[in-house]
Amino acid sequence: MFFQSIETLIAKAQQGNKRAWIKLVKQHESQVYNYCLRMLSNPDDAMDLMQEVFISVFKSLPSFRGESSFNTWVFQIVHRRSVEYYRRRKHFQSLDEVPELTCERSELESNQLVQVEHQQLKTMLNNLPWEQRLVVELKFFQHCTFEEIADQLDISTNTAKSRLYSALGKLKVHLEAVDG
Amino acid sequence: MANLDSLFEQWLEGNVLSDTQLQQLENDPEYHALMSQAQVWQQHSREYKTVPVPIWDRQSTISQLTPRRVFSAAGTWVVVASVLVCSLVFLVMPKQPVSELLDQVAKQTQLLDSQQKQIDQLQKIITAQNELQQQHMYQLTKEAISTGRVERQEDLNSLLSYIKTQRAQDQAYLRIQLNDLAEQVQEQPMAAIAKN
Repeated sequence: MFFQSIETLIAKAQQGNKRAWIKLVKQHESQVYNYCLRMLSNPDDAMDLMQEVFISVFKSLPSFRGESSFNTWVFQIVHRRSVEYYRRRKHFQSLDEVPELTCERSELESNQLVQVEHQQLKTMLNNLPWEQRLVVELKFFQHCTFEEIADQLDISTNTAKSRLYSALGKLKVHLEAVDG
Repeated sequence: MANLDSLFEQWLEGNVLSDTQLQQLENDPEYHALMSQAQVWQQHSREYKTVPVPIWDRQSTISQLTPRRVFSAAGTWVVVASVLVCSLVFLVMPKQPVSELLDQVAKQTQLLDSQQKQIDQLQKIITAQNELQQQHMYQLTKEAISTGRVERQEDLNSLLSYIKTQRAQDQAYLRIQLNDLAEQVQEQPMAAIAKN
């Protein structure tokens, strides 16, 4: 087993090396899947979106020049694809109107405590409009600065801030409602 | 207020604030509330247990290679072959005058150009063939559809004529039966006919 740096893997994948590509996917799939799961709240949708994301990354791989880190570049694609996925799905159902779904096959069921925590997080995220959910995800789960958020979502820094503050305000209302 | 906003932003970005600055933020009811809510999210982020990715087909993310790659590989081989030939020219005939060598290099370059042109022509031919094939496929599909339509029409016509024949036969049979009945009624004496 030889260790290969990410740059080597990218270069090999760009030349069409399938094994290098699969290694790259394995290195990033967990991060991408968990992002999709938090954003969409449904394991099946998260899997679909993750697959779309990696197909997109593979197609765009020849254009990757290493100007930003591979991870940042991948997540820019993830954001674009997730927005498209959300818009597509919105034609069929509104997230706010649909009751919480429980997936029988979910991995979460293996651990009751984790499931409860994830359920709380899911409810909190579902309580937010899509744009605010994206900002919360980038700020608290991807630990991005406001400049990075603005850059990734193609919005101004002030818009990113106002979306985050609105999301925090909504959480206050939600917590007050939960506490009674 | 602007100062508090900047402090809150710094705190959100993970910068360490002094006790006085933190006190300033906590003393303001609005920012105190925002900080508490941000802390809820931060706690969720810290305690988030990564969900393992279900088993999936990673190979499905690899799309088909485009025909362009084949040509770029061919182009690479042409370049490699030309370099080899040029190297051989320099190694095998080192005593030749520079002008002759330059001529040969020029010839090689011409050869390379002509090969590149051939490759381009081949690419054009393949593209044209693909288009032709697509047109043929389109024609074939159209023909298959129209043949199917004609066959269905013929089937329906034969079914209709069969139904018509059957109906005519049924009507003729009923007519005969009615005639028989009429004859029987006429032949019976009036006393045998029921009176209501």
